[in-house]
Amino acid sequence: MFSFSFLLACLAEAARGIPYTLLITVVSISVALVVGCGFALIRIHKIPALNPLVILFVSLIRGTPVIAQLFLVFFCLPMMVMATFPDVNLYSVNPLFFAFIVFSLNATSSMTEILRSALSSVEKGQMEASQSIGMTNFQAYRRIIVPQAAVTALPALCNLTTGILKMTSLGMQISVLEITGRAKTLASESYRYLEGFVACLIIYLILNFVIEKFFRFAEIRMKHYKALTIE
Amino acid sequence: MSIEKTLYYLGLLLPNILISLKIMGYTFLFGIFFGAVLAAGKLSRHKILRQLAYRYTSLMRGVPTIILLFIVYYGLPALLRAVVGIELDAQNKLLYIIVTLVLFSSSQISELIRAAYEAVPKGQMEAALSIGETQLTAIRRIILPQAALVILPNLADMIVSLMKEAALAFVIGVVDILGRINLLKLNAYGKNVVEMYIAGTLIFWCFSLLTQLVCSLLERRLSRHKLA
Amino acid sequence: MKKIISAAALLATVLLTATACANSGPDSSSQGQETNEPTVIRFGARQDYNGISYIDDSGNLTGYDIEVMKAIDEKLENYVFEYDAVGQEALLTGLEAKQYVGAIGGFFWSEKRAEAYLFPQNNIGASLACLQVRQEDIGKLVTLEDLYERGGKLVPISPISGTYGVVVDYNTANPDKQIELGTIEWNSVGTEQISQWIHDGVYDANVSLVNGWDLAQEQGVNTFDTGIDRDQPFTYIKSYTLFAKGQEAFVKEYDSALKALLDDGTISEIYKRYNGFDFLTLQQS
Repeated sequence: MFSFSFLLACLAEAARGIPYTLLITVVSISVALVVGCGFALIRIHKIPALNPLVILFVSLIRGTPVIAQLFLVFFCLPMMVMATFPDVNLYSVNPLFFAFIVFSLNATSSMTEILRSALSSVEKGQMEASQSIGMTNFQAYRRIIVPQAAVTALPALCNLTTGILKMTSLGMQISVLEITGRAKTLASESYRYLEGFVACLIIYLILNFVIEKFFRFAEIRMKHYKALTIE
Repeated sequence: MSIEKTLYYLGLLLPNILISLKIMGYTFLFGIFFGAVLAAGKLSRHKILRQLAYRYTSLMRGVPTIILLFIVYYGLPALLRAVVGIELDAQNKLLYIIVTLVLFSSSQISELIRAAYEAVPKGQMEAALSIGETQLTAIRRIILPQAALVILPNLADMIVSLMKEAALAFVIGVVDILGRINLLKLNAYGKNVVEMYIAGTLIFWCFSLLTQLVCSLLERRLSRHKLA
Repeated sequence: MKKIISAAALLATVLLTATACANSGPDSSSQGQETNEPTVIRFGARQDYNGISYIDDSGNLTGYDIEVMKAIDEKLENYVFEYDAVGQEALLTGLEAKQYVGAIGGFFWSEKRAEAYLFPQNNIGASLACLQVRQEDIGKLVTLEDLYERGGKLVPISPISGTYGVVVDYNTANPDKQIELGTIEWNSVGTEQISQWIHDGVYDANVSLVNGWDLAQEQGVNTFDTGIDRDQPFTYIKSYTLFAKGQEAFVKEYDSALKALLDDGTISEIYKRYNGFDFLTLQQS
């Protein structure tokens, strides 16, 4: 029967995984914001040579299952690197490092599409107008285009962040002990998976609630940029 | 790594793409429908409808899909049996996985629809109404084509991610491409795993490229509606 | 915050209601016996435990445990067994929510598990556990204690595996000689990857079940010059079919059928077919 005391034990154990989950999520989203922004600009301005590469990158990463990527990066990458550079010992690297790689790649590929779609939703005329009043390209992006695009991108960004957060539950594939991994490990000691999963559910709901509040707040704060497009 | 083995596994895995496509297709169709309903709720004037739609979205975002699947697979039949006395067919596992993924994806799709709708300047609606168009034709002819342009890349992303999400089905024994890899891998004790994964990755990648191609063609067509 | 708690409570209620109104047990459907129609018993079975309970390349559920269960089904005339092949996590969630009467797939006894589920008197199968080590360590690294004294590293184990429990038990019994135990997903790496790790010195030993090791050899897995000393297993694990609480009456019938099959040699025969050696000699030694 469902045991509440065991649920509490699972909650406590799973909560110890929160730092790992958050760390992976924050690192991936941060990397994605920087790199994805660059990639999105390459896509929009159709920069020769780079544009097709970005298209390939995005379709490869977002098109293929994370579980396959995890295996290839966790198991094959160290072997390939060490076959080429015998001095490097990638085996002793913390598996978190591999999680950073895989989840950053995934976040970046989605981010590229989100930012591209958002940036191109801002009318071209606005760029021209900014230039006509003497702004540089950079200034136009920073002051006019990006704030408007950001408002459009926020819901998708929220989706992405919570998506990555949940995706980290695959961490146990490469022996990173995040929330789900810890709950499952404890649950398997007594085969009580129901409590373990309910514990995960509660923790993910709370984390998700916080992330969502953050994005709602950001959306409300930035609403006035949106007003510019209406008038 | 050998190319011959990769090709061999490519042949083994390919038939299972049908299962993945089936799950993805149904989920996408129903997901769009319920997503649109949810988005309408979010944009509606009624406070209760709005609240409900938002709460549903935030709930679904937080629930890991595997847990949702357990609730649907183990909870739903028991609940229906007890409350309405309907006996669900336990053999039709595809049903459970599609219900789960629709529950989940419609919340995401509703967010995409809402964002796209809001990306079209409100003035356009007013302008359309002022020249005597009805609200419905205004939405159909003015708002929709522009909103579609914003939403299209995201929808393509959704299709591709649903294709991967379909792998969840393996948890309850429906064998999609990834499930097949899992079985092959476990039954072979890790032999040729690299080839299996590369073959699987190739299948998924081709699908993703194809989706992207279709999406960019559609985008080009729709761009006619875009204002200069 | 309130929203979350209410949402979580709602979901938990759904699960609990499901548990409460589950009536998959034979106890609640006694009409079946009056009309002489056999009662359907719904089992969950693992789909991914090679040799024990797994889906083979042609898509059929098979394995040693499944064969034995089928033999038991034949013995119990009042019942018809139905199998639902799913992953381990789904299987145990479904069992705890009482959507299955029992779960098949080589489950291992522990005190905590016995509090949550019913273990039959008789085990369905058994495995010998050895340490898989590099060629030069065979005969030298035999037990977990040897590994501790060497200061060696153990390959991470999936917590759903029986070998995980072996190490946990060892650590509980030897608090001053703890071995670091990492965890990894069941389907993450196979024997070939583990062998390579041991060969490359990333880890020094892996807890390996003799029958699993043999099956891997049959598949022609590259073991990278690692091996096990099959004459020196350091422990012996019994495996069971697991039952939901409240199925005491059925488990009694299951037990007597299993005992009869043990006595008439059917199980030995099936065990030999899958493992190449005799189950009974193993159980007695």
